[in-house]
Amino acid sequence: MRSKSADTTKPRRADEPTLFESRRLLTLILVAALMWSLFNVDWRDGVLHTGGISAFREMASALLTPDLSGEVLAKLIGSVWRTLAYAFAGLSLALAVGFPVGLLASGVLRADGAAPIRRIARVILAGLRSVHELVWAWLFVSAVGLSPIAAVLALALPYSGILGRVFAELFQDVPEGSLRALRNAGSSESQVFLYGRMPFVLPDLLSYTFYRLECGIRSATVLSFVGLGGLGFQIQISLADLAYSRAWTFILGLIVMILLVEAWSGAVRKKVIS
Amino acid sequence: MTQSSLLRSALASLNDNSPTAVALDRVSKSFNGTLAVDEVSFTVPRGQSIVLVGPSGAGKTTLLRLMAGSVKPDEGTISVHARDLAEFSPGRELAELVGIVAQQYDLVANLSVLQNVLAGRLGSWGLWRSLLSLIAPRDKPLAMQALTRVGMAERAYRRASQLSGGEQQRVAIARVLVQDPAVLLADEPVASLDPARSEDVMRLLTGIARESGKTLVASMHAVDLAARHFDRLLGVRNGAVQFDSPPADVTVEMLGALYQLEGLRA
Repeated sequence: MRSKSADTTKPRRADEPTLFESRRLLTLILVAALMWSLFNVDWRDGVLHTGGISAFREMASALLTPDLSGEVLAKLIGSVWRTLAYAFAGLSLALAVGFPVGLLASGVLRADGAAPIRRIARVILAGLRSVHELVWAWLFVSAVGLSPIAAVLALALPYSGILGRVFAELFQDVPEGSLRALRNAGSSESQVFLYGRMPFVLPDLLSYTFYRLECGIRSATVLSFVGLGGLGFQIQISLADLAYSRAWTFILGLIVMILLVEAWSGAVRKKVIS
Repeated sequence: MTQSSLLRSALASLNDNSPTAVALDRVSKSFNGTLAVDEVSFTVPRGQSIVLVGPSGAGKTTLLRLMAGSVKPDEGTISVHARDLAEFSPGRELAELVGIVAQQYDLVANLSVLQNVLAGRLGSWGLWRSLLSLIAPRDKPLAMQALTRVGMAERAYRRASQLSGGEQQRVAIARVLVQDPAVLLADEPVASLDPARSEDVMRLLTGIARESGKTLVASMHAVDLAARHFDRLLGVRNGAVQFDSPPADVTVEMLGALYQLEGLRA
């Protein structure tokens, strides 16, 4: 290592940031914009409309008295079941599409990176995730009508794009050391994937998929506003009836469902890591 | 196998009775304009255990990677068992010639010890066999034999991440045993171990080389440890070989010159 002894002691002036460097300037502009906007808010009448406060009070007191009648609970169980079914079916489909396309988009299966295939896979993933599930839902509802297939496809398309993109990044982002050792032992890139990349990313891959399942449940709830049935639909009806107690029953049901999924994902992750 | 590679291995097996295991001929390699290896030539006869010693950044790791075929030389040739490494791309044939135990143990942390050792077989397995083996391990007796040799048989089902540094290095040695290359390379195999563990791993490595008649090329910065375990020391500094002699002939002056700090040089 000969040419390394060059001067390393002299501080380099060019690295020091100046006041008018673009990043600092941007920060200043953003802070100024925030101040300006705060002064322009009409604090007295602009934030809440006149009936707002009393409506809030009513909703808050309804939280303490959720509607637990048999009829509502039966509806709750039915709509929870339906929402879960949408989320699970959508996520399974998204996994089945996102994993292989993400793998192709990562380019890790070939030593040369397989650039053309990789580019195509990336474009597919970007296209899938650039349209929100609600928009897909409108499209599918107008195409196939109010059917569960519309809900499941509307969830599966953007989610496969998101999963595929994140998986691709996970597959690429594995420390080189253990991979080099496998290559030295004569492995092909596919074998390096099986024995090096996959075991390394599995915990992250699982926990991200579970996180997306949570998101899927929330999305399925919102999707049902479109008229596809499920928790969101029930919440919408209750709010339209001004039956806040009933609305809270469904919202609490949603929260419990998310918490249960989180506990489940934690248990699975623990099992994979230890 | 393609026709040309068949022909090549046929020719190679004809030549394969040369007494030289590894030969470097005026090999140079630089990274981003920095010369890491400067016209190095030496040969290692079959069955010999040699060690490259020298300060950090001397080019020992680059030399070993060149011999492992994972780095290509800018100039010069490297041959292993009379075959030019330039003919090889990473893969099965190269894995049969050279196997390396690296500085960092480089095990796959989330796989079991057994699967890590079996990874040494990947060069001779197809993709389906590799996939199947993750569920129902193939060639298990072979792996258990290697693990027994390094004293890790009872840890076969532990995760690699649960092992101590010394244990991980033993598993890495078992992996290269299962790979069964003609020449064993070891890049700073004990750099991150305490003295007792280092002694232990070095005894294991040189013992395995001796009993299987394999050639061993290692690198190290601890000269005393190197002198105790190897037949031949190569002093490397600034990418060049400064001395090449049996441990008994290495003098204090030679070591002083090898490890002298750049700034203190008169």
